Amino acid sequence: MSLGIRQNLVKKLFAGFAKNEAKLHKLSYLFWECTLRCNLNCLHCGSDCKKESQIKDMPLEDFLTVLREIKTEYDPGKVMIVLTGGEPLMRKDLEECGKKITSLGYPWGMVTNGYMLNPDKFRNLVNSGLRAITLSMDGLEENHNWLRGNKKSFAAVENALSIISHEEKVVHDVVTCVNKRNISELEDVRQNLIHKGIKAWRLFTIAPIGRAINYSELHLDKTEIKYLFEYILKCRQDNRINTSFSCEAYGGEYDHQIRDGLFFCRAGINIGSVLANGSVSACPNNNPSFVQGNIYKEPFLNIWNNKFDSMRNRNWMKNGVCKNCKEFKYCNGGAMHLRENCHSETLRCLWHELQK
Amino acid sequence: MKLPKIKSSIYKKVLGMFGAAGFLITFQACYGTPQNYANIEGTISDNDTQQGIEGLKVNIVSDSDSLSTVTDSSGNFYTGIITNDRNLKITVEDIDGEENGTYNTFNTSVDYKNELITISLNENI
Repeated sequence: MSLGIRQNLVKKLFAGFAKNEAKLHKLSYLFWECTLRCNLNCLHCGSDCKKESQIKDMPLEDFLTVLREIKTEYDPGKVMIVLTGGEPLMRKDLEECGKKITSLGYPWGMVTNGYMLNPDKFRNLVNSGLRAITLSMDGLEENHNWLRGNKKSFAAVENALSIISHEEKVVHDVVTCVNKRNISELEDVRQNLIHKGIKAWRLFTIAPIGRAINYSELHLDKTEIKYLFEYILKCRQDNRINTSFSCEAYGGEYDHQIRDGLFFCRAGINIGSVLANGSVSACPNNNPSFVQGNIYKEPFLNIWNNKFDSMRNRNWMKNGVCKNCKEFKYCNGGAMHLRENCHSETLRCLWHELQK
Repeated sequence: MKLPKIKSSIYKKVLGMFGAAGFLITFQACYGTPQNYANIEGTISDNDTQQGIEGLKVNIVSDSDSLSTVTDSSGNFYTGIITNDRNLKITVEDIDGEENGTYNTFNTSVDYKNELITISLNENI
């Protein structure tokens, strides 16, 4: 698969654009890790969450202080707030959170396992301004429940998908973490999602971080990665459900065909997060060594405007397999969550593995 | 910050010429939700002078949302709107009288694919 002149030119232009975006580092996507409590026990959890977390939920008012501060420099309508966890539905004041975020002018969404979602809860969230929702379905029943560590999880997410799929005011997508067990049943999952009226499906591999390090069955080999990319290409040829590879990794020659945009890790460039303990980072699954400050010690915008150097200038990432890689100018060292600290090599490069 | 802003605008225009503007305007964090809204960006200019027109009210209606914004001194507008099918109805109104020229109300529909929207208007003379 060789790239045409047009695609090569677009890739080069996009690389210049990405470099420039890092200089501008305009915040447009803010995660709020609103709780670390979770009702599932997923094998691949990057947060290592538990039902009863040692860290208490951040009071809503503390997060609203951050949003009011951001509003002094940004148009809130252009900053997407995404509630994550843990499991956001574990918060009893979730509707209140949504209402207050909406009243400040921010669009908001949430990433959920859907276990506690019911029609009334969803209606209340929509009335609180919910604009986007992401649910997970990680295979058919047996494999989904295995990954999620709960025998009722599949039935719960099936129910949740039926609830969200026809709500016009809320955009949705479904995420599947592809692993050795579920890769052979992707087409069955896809047909199920189409049948339920789901409009978008995002496929991930599982990063070797958090609990996932301990399970070899979670990690795809070269043949499986290639199969996954080819499968996504095939799915994208029909419009019944918008299928894409997540923006977790650079896809080399596949990159421009397996998703709607080219790979660009925007962690710390356009994406920030406020973690449950007040720490400020880029994406919530970034290694704790990349925490840049804490909202309980200094204003969020001081941190966002003046720190994050290691994410906005990624030349330090040119080590390990990236050191002499001719693709570095396009991937900039890959995704931030695959680095353990600002000297470490990437934990994984899918493109590099495909070349072996 | 002025130079990177200018550069950003040039990159957007050039990538837009290659049909790749959609790569730039919306994105999704890898472990986040989709941005459920389209970030609408466009320019309204005078057909004769090619200069951007300031102070026009831009009303945008989608399948599930509606909102208004006003063009800046360069005729640019930028806003986010909830949309599922991305079919947008746009109405441009001159709301500042003779200031910045006089223009008739203009209606158009677009099948929005994240491209920069460009609209040219004829001034009433």
